[in-house]
Amino acid sequence: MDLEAAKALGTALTKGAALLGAGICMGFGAIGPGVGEGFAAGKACEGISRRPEEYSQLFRTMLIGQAVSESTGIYSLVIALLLISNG
Amino acid sequence: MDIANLSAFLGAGLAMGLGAIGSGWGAGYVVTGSLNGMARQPSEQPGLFRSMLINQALASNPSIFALVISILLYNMGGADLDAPDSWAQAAAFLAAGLCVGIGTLGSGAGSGLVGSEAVESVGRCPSSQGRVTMMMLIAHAWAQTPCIFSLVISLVLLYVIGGFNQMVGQSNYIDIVNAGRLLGMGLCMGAGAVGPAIGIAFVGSRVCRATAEAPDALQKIRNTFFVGAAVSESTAIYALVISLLLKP
Repeated sequence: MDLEAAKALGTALTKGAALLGAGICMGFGAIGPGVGEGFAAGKACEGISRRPEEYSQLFRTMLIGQAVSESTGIYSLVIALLLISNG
Repeated sequence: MDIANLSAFLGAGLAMGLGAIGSGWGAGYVVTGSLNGMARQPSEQPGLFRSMLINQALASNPSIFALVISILLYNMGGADLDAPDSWAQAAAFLAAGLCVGIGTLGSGAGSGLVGSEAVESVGRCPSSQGRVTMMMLIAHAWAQTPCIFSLVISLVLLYVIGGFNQMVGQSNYIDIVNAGRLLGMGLCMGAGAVGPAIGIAFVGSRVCRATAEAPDALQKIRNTFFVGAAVSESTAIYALVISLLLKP
């Protein structure tokens, strides 16, 4: 294989791997936040059923907790977009 | 076309093999909650048994998606041996199988969580049956949206992209890039559907219990359910967006 062809193959492999990486990044990155946010909301519902009068406090805490949990999902999204656009 | 045939058969096996895990576990887990409920309220056994069967059917639903994709992939293998090799087409078939296979893991297991808790809650408090059943149906439907996303991506991979004439005849280098792209597309939506499905189902299972225990707070519980599950769903939607961005 001559030098030009080797270079072209290398570029193609890099680009393909970057796109595969973007998919794996967002796919696996979505697992944790999804489960974590669900647990937060589930326990909030349980708390509200026990003490309905504390609804606003529980709801606010749930949303803030979910936002923090969401951050890792957003990191994955950013990295996946970077890999798609620059890979 | 040897590679494409090989990966179509491999994808068919992976789709059904992985797709059976979640639903199998889920349908079995429904029974544990039902048995707890029946032990608590022996007089309600016929109703709880019916409810158990409905929940098991709903929990088996994701595996039917996997079965459909598996059969489609099986039919696509073994055709047209004279066409030129295409890595991208092979990747599309494998990715379609992996996407629906991994994507149904979460929804199947999640539906099991919802069903188990719903039947047990009715057993604990038989007068709440109507309310709990309504919440249970919403929770099942919602927990299965991520696996419907993965079914859609899988069908896109099979028909729009893996279709027999689209990918062949591209130059070698574009073919390699497309192979990585398509495999990434399938894995992204497949793995991305697992977490949100389990999360939403966990919310749904707690909501079923809360609805049975505190009928007065139904409105507040329902608000929390809808907001909490929608936030949990957001990561599945990121995965869907990235997956569609990766589509060539």
